[in-house]
Amino acid sequence: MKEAILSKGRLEEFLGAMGNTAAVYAPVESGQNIVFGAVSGPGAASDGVRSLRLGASNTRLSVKGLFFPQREPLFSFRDDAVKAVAEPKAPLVAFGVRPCDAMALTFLDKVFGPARVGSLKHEDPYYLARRGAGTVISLGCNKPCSTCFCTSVGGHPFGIAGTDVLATELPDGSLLLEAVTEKGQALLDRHAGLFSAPSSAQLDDKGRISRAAEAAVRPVHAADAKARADAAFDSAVWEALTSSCLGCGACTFVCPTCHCFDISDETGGNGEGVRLRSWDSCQYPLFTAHASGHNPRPARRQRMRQRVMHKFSYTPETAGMVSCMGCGRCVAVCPVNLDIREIVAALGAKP
Amino acid sequence: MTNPYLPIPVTIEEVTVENDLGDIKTFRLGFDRPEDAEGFQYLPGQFAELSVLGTGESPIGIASSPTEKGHLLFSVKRMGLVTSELHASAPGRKMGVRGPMGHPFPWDRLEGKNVLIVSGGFAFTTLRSAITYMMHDGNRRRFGRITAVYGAREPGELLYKDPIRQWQASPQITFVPTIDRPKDGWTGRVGLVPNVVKELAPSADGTLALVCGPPIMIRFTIPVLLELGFSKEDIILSLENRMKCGIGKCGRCNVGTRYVCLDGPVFTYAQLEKLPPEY
Amino acid sequence: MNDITREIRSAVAGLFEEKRIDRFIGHEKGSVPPRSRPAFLSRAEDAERLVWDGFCSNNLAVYLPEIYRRQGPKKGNEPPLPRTGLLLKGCDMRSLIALAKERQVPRENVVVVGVPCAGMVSLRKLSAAVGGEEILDAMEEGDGLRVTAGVRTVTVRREDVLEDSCLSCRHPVPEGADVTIKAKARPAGDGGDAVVAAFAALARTERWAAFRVEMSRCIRCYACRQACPTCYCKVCFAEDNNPGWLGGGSEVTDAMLFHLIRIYHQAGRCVECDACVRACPMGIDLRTFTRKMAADVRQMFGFTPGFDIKEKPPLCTFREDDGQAFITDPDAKERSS
Repeated sequence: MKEAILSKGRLEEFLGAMGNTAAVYAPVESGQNIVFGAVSGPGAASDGVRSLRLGASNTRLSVKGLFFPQREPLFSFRDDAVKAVAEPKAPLVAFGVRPCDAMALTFLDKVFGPARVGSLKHEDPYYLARRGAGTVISLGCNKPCSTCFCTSVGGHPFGIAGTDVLATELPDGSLLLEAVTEKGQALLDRHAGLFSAPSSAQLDDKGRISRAAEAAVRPVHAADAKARADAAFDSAVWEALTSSCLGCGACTFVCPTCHCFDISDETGGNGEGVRLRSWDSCQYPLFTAHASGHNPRPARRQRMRQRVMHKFSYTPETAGMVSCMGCGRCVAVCPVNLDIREIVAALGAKP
Repeated sequence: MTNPYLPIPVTIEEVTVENDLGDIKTFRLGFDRPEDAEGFQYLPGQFAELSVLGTGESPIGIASSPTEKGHLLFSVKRMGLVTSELHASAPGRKMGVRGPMGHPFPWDRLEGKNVLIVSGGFAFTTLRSAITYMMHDGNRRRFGRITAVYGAREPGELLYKDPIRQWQASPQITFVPTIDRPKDGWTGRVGLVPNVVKELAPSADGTLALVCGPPIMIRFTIPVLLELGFSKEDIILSLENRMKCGIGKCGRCNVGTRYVCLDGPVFTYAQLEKLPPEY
Repeated sequence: MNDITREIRSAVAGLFEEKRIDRFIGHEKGSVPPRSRPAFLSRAEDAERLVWDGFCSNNLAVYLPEIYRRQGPKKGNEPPLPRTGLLLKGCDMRSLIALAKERQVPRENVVVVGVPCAGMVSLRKLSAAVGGEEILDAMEEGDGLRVTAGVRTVTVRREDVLEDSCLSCRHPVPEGADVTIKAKARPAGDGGDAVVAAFAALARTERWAAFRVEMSRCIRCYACRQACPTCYCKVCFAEDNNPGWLGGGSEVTDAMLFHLIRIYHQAGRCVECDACVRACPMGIDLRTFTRKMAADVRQMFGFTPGFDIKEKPPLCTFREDDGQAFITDPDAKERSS
């Protein structure tokens, strides 16, 4: 069935059942934060489902780490020859993904998918393999927080972009599951024994919750962001808005769409080693530094400008979408409370 | 799907020191597998990532022409980790190549045109590829007049001294090497590249200009070309930028809406003007 | 607006009017309640933006090295260095002294407006005090805070939600400020000695395991390093590739190595302001380790950073009577500490 109800109290059972055929990741506690961790299946503790924490508005780190890990070996080598190529193909389920993170995956699909230019076809086999083996069950946001602004950048607290199944927490404690893709439908079919059909009242509830959530998301002045950003490229407003930036990179690491990475070789000194990639950030001064010493973006304000321009001006042209998802993580995490909402709103405004 | 991160296995066949300073060497690389040699179809202007397992990769312009079959030539300046490792390598060493990458010079537009080449210093490498390609027997008639100005600080710093001698002797190309200041034993042109171009005053009619050099050379050459009547679309430049993946995924070479590795490294001056000056 | 804020605004406006500074760095209200954040001012009129409250935790000394970093070799024709005004608390002031001692910042170019500090509120503790509900507003009233979260408004005691570093702060008064604002400082605490003692009492394997658990959360974003005023290397050892000291990914052994080395690079320089702890997006408990290291420096070298510009720091000083037991008998230290 396209829509299914998982009654109150059966979520752990559902997560456990999915763990029979996939590694299931969901929001769990990690120290002082909530992050995606294994709750059932390979890699999870036997009582992993107990560590589920769905109360938080969003995880500290986005779901991108499941498909584009912070540290990912590309291949191993030995004595100047490639030995083994990493081939991630283990099935995985990402549960409890907020719609902003799911929509972010549609952007990353464009980045890591076939390159957009002419006959140069480059596909990232690592990301695409994980995506292919992955099923996303997103969880709509009944209570968006004050730093959320998905609706101002083309998203919605109950949006379905990038997800395979959309889940909604209903007032009666049950979970409404709606299949969005064929893959999502197949997942629901596989576990049909756990579900019942939704009543029309429950479906109405979902509509009501969704509309209320949409109204609760605070609007941000992101209209015409590209035009305003392009016009303001050389404006002094960048210095004024970003002078407190520490260049710490926290924003890019928690961001669900930031995808810059470094490639490096690590060896054990005995001829064996691994070539791997790891997250990098355009906020670091070394990011663009040439071997000659020339640095195209030597100042912090230029690097922060690059981040904002990339999300609001460049990717609308190259990928057909703003690549800020309005998840608000960068706003929450910035040690000096730099606020991308303020920056975007200020572009083009009279001083 | 092919894995674009996997280096193609090659072996260093020959190493030649190109300049007196000794910090630029040309490596002739042979493919370990014949099918890789056949599959590596490239055009002058493209680059590749040279891979040294255990050290890293370095994006280097391809100096050989596709008409020179069976091997690749790369001229590498010793600057950092990977290039130093390469410089310390002897023939027989196994390494890797990922490529070809980027867009080449606009050969569809160059068809039937006169070609003006303006270059300085180490940036001349991909122009060796371009000139060798155009001068090849089967190709020469596709192009009109070919004029090249190539400058270096001193005679010892000019790359590809043997090909240069051949080109200077050939009626098929007007090749003008120049050095910055007079030097004993040098009977050729003396003068900075932009000035030499101004003196030669090549016609802009039906001509495309390929300009590859250090930023300062480019900065002073562009106004000379514009004054000679070249349009911004007819001035072709090759950009350098910090790169890693070379295939438009890692974001490092991102300039405005473009990736230098994917949309470039070849851009027209008209295209560059629209980009933020972050390269 | 409290009296302290009023006095700060007046003092800063005065500094501009007297042309004693080219710019001022203080705090203003932020965009995410109840935060305050760094403010960069360039004119007397901007002083109206300044605030002082329990959310001014940012250590503003962190901006100084970049402002005074020389771009190339001295040629003799450089324009005069800018004069920067700065709002500093007790811990921040000691960072400035440490930077001046290391010749990263000319003390004579900095005008310090110092505020004796009553302690800063921990956003994490405040959030926990209101059950994790999103905080919409927090007003300070005497010894308490009136916090609006969700639909409720509750009053919490300041003492219950202060940063751990502030609860144990030994030096809340910025000594050596050029202008000292009238404000009541907290009584000095024990500097976190209790926390350090508890950690040191663990067996070495337990300490290592605790360290490893914290480091497993590190994503190598370097926020800790960037927030630290005395981390100012142009190229950090962690990003050097020639030689490549450690890997760049989040592999736990790389994370452990990064933090071990960074913390030890801070020996005799870390003023325990906890800027690194607050900056970390993963909430890693760096505090236990930075304090352990600072306590070791106090014990071994009798040195606390940030008071005397002329006093040589232990990291670059060798005395013949320096202890060597850690080489000759490493476990002896284990037993005694």
